[in-house]
Amino acid sequence: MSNVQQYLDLYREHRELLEQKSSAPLNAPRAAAAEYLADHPLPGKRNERYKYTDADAAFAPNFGLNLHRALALRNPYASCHCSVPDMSTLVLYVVNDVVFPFRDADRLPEGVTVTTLNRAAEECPELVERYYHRAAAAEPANAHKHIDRVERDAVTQLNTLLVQDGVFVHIEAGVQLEHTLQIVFLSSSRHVLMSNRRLLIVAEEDAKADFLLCEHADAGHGFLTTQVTEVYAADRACLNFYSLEETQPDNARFSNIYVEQQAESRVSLNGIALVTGLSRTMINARLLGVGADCQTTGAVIADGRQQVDNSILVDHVAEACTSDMLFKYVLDGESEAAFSGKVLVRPGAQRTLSHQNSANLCVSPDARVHSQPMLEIYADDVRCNHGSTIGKLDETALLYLRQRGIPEKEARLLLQHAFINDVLQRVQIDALRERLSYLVEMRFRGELRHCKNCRHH
Amino acid sequence: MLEIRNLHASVEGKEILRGVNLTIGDGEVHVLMGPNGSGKSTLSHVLVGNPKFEVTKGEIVFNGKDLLELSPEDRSHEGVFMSFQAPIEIPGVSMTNFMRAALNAKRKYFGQDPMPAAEFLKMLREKRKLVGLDAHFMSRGVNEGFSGGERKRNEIFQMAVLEPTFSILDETDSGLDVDALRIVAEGFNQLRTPKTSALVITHYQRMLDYLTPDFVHVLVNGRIVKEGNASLGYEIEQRGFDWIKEEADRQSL
Repeated sequence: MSNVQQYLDLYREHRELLEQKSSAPLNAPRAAAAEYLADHPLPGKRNERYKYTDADAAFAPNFGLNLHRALALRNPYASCHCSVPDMSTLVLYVVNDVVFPFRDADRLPEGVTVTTLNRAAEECPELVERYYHRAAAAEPANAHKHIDRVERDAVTQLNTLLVQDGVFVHIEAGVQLEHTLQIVFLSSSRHVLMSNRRLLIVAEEDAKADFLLCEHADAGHGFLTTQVTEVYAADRACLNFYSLEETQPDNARFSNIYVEQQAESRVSLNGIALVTGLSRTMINARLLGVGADCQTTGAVIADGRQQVDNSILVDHVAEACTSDMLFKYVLDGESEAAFSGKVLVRPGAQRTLSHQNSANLCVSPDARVHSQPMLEIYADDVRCNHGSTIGKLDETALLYLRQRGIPEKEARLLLQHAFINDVLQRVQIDALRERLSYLVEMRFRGELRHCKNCRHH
Repeated sequence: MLEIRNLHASVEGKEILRGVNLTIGDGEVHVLMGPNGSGKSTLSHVLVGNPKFEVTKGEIVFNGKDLLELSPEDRSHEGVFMSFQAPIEIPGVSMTNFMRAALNAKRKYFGQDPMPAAEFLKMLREKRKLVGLDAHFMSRGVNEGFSGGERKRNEIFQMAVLEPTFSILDETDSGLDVDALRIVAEGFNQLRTPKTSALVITHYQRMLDYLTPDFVHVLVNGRIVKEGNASLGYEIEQRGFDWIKEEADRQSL
């Protein structure tokens, strides 16, 4: 029996409570999700997109949920200060699955809404109803081949079944958010806890914004998080997401990101995993308008028994879209990481340009990496290339540095940092790039004790 | 400065050096010549401590210290420098960071504090000007996108920053690249002091013209079989190595 059963039982038993503490748009798709999950076990190694991460096993423990919304929570404003030097951000805290009041609201330009999904459901119900669970419900993977059998992601379904609130961001046409919107996610509880988080981001025509998403977790408890993010970029909208994961070795997270892009929109998703336990990120980006551009980049630094999995699908539906994937992993200890990236070029998506690159360093003999770049092309006028490398540290370069007097440990560190550097260079905000570069260095040195400025008490 | 006694070394189980004896005094320039596969590069890699090469017998004393006991980085601190024949490209490590790490590691080895940032940048600027390396190379990755000549100039620049006492100039196969030889030789001459010595590995007479060596050694089958002054180098340029090999064969019979 699949481990999904305990969550279905929980849903059936507490459905009233769950819905009472939530809002209509979030409640609407629950029944369908329950129906789907009743027939579909949580994915494991037998499912193509989950072959490197056994979700069913990760959901096996009996996690608590904060259904009553009454759990005493740490006040992040009092106990946590998360900031990037030389960078002014607007900070929103989410503790477990509870969105804290946004104190920087008065610094937002006119035309930008940052609030909770439940409040948005009252204040602008038409927007929430229009966008909530739209991209996430459309599974593009094999839709053109198997119209009769559209596969849904069971983790997204489970999130939809149990989620009670989330973050809502709306940017009106032509509005540019000058400051980066930083969302800090904390997992903090005295008990093992499951949090189901949801983000809905809607950018209208010509809107522009940068997001910094930080994930942290208290030590000593096993946390399981599902996070479903839906991003809608209208014509010429420009959105950059930088996410930084610095949690705990006993933390498990499943982040599913759905992106819909209209004509000439530009979306970049840059994820850096510094410390984690089990971390799976899935991105499904659909390029629906002519000339859209989607960049997905990621860096993973893992050791111990950490497991990281990036499963990316960029779906070229419209003509003349461009996409670029760049993922670089440095794996030590007995860590295991996977990259599977697929570029799907639909019939008619002529003049597609795409590039995929997965490069991996295994610095210990017990580290394992799976790299799987894929192309599926149904148009003839396209330029798509992909590359994948797995190797060890370059001994010639190591000798060169040591010959100049740099101690072996330091030389290895420099080379590992240099390897990740390509990904850091994609970060367009100077102060953030420097910060991330510093954190990566501290991580390699084994001296990362939270992000320094982000102190948790 | 350097004394190599009965040095035997192998790579991947195959013996390459079979009893090398070589003494280099302070301020001397020695040229090592020899046919392909005779062990010239092996000797240079053993001197800098490349872990791929295994020393099976013999010893190397460098300024009174047992060189073989030292890690490659400590050999560097003690004054050993190798100008690589084909310097490797290391994207992502900027020249400035590279030199800062190298210099401060050396200072640490001698119990000194890291060089203050302003002083370091000033020193870097001076050395750069001395060897004629443009400022924009400093922000690039190590040798990243450098031409052959620029890489050689960069080796000399690093030599200028680290101020070694013993330099190995490996120019085994770069004979056709006239610029490379000239840059390395002129650079070394420019930085030379009465104390600095060099071991130059080359096939080419041009190197002899530039460097006016004190001694020329010929390595054949892992042993030094003939020694002389600069004129031996010119003779080899004329006659090749066969006569030396034959001479060596006769002696060993």
